[in-house]
Amino acid sequence: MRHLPRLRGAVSASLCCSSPTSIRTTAVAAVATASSSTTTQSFQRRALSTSVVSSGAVEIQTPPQGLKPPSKEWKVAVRPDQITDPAYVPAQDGLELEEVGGLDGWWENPANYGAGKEWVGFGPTEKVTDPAVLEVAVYRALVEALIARREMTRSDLTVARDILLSSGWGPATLTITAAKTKLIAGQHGNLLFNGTQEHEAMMAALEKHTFPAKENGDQDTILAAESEENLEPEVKEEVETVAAAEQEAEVTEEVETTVAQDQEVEVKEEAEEAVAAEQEAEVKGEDYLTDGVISAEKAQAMLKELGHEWKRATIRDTIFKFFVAKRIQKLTGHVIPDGKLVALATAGSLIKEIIKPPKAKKLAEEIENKEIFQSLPNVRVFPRRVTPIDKEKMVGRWKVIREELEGRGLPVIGTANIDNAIEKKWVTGAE
Amino acid sequence: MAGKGMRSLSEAMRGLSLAAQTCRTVPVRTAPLISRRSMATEAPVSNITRSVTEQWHPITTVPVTIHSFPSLEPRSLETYSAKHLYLPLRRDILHLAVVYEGDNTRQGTAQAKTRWEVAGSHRKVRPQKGSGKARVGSKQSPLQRGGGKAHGPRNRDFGTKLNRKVYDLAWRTALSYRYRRGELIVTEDGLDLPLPEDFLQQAQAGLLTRELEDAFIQKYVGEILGAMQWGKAHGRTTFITGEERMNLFTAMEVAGENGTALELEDVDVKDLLETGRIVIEKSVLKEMIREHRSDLVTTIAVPAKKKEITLGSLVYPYPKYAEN
Repeated sequence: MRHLPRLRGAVSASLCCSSPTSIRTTAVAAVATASSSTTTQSFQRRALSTSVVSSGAVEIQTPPQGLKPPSKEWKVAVRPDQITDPAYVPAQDGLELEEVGGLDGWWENPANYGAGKEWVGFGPTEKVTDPAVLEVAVYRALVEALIARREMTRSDLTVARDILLSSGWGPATLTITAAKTKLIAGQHGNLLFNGTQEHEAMMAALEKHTFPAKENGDQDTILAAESEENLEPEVKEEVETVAAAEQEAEVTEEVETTVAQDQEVEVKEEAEEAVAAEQEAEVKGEDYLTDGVISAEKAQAMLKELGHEWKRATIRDTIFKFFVAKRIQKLTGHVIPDGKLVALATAGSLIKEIIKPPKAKKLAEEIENKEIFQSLPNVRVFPRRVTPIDKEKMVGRWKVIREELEGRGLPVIGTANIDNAIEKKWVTGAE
Repeated sequence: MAGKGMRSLSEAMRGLSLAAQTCRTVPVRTAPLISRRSMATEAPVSNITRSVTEQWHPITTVPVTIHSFPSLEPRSLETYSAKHLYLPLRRDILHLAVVYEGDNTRQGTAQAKTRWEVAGSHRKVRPQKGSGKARVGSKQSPLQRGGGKAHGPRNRDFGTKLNRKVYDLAWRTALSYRYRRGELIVTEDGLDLPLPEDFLQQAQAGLLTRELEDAFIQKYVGEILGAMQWGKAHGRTTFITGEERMNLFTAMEVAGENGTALELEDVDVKDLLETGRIVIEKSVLKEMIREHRSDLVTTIAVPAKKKEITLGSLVYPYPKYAEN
């Protein structure tokens, strides 16, 4: 038994991903971890730390429980002279002893291993594979990322922006409203909303579902969580640098549809319309979802209305791409690595990248998937080498051969202990 | 040599055309077509021809997403110079570096005794003549059983040399290769493997033997990395941290079939090329590149004329959440 050199830290969650509702409390832990990680500790090589590692956004959905250690009670066997069973025959040596108990495979029993120890990533546990759903997800990701990029650039909205980027599918209304928000390719081919007021309905839906009012009913608390007065000096500094960097990075996308933020006129009629449409959709929304994800049939219907023009729009801004990739990962589970993201310049290429099925591991699988030799009647593809036994089986001789070999006491497969013919050595002179 | 002759001729012609110009222009030699081959990991180029009026803007910076671990949430975004993380694949340079490392890792301690080192008397074994047997000078002769070895291995240094700039380029080429393939996962600082609460409690209470602890960790790591598609079935994973992290290093030692964990100082180019993916802390990546950029920065103290390439700069930070 090794010694555990460090005492336990405060009990907190160990493993899991973030959920939008819990993200605020858990992210504080991330900051604390990052700052404390600089202290070095000396310890034995084979040792386990009992202080919990916080991975930042940690929130346990089902707390790990039920790990069952083996009992420390020992059962003592009956002495041989006290055994009354007439069938008992004492063993003559160790090999004859029956093996009882043991701890091999102790954790393979689910009752011992307990529950809640599965890995939970940022995205859904199972990747979305349906092409139509993926396309709708990309569209929604683009809409939301555009909103995050345009409407949440203010330094006091960084938390709200992160909540938006980290939230799941939510109610079907969000997807429906996103699909109604028209995206176009601008004058220079860049991705834009079709007009400055196009995303009002989506904003309203997000405020309702993604940023729900807190218990005290104060809607503004999350959206204005970080007023500049409350920020620590270092945070403030960072926020300022970010704002500067963002302003610098803003490309022509923004220029095209400069939102006159000063002229933020509340278009009441439109908002009311949107709310009405939303309520209508909400009533119907139930059948839109399967396991929280939009269903494939509904996705196909949405795609017909979306058309194809938006897929040609270009995406060049690095931070915007980051937003889109994060949304896509959260919604679909597909991770687009940076190295690939660099080369993807249009909305359509993003879709192509995640729709592409994973590469087959074996050539035979690849050939089978692509049905390459299907049209050739005289060509067959096998997943492994065709052995002499396979050939015998194909013509139905193997059963006979096996019986003959077994009848003569010869090995069926392989050569057992029978060496090569000694004469061969004499002839070739080889040792 | 006809080809060479033709090339010389064309060069001469080009020289003539330049000489005819009024202003002096540095002749730009394009690489011969045969060497302009496609790199294996190169992104598909949609149109390879480009109008002369259109300016060519190569990528100068590349984004690096910083993830949390183990949820792999994209947290913040940094940019790195293309000369750090977006170099073209040069197999030849990687080969040089791996061979160089292999040579310098050789222990070179094999040593066999020569006839002068084998212990014993150097007396003549038997008279030169008259015994009817072969002549024998001493029993340490390589011909004798128990004698010395004529040309046996000797202690020596197998180390070879490689120019520092080439080695550093190889290092960044290896990182770039991983980056392009999406096999470089950068995490926030403090990369460690969180172990389940109930396991840690029971381990501390002494309810589990070492065998049970190891068996648990082996199963746990196998399941976690399997679910992430990082495990044995997906080519294993190399974790690189700045210092030894207790849980991660012990876990990867126990569950070595799924990957390995290394400190920065133990990493070399071969390690970067070996497993299915590299998981590295962001500060460690920065330090690694800082240590291996001798071909990009000068150590001579002269007023810098060129703008120095900065190491990864943060372009999108993870928002700091206010406490409740």
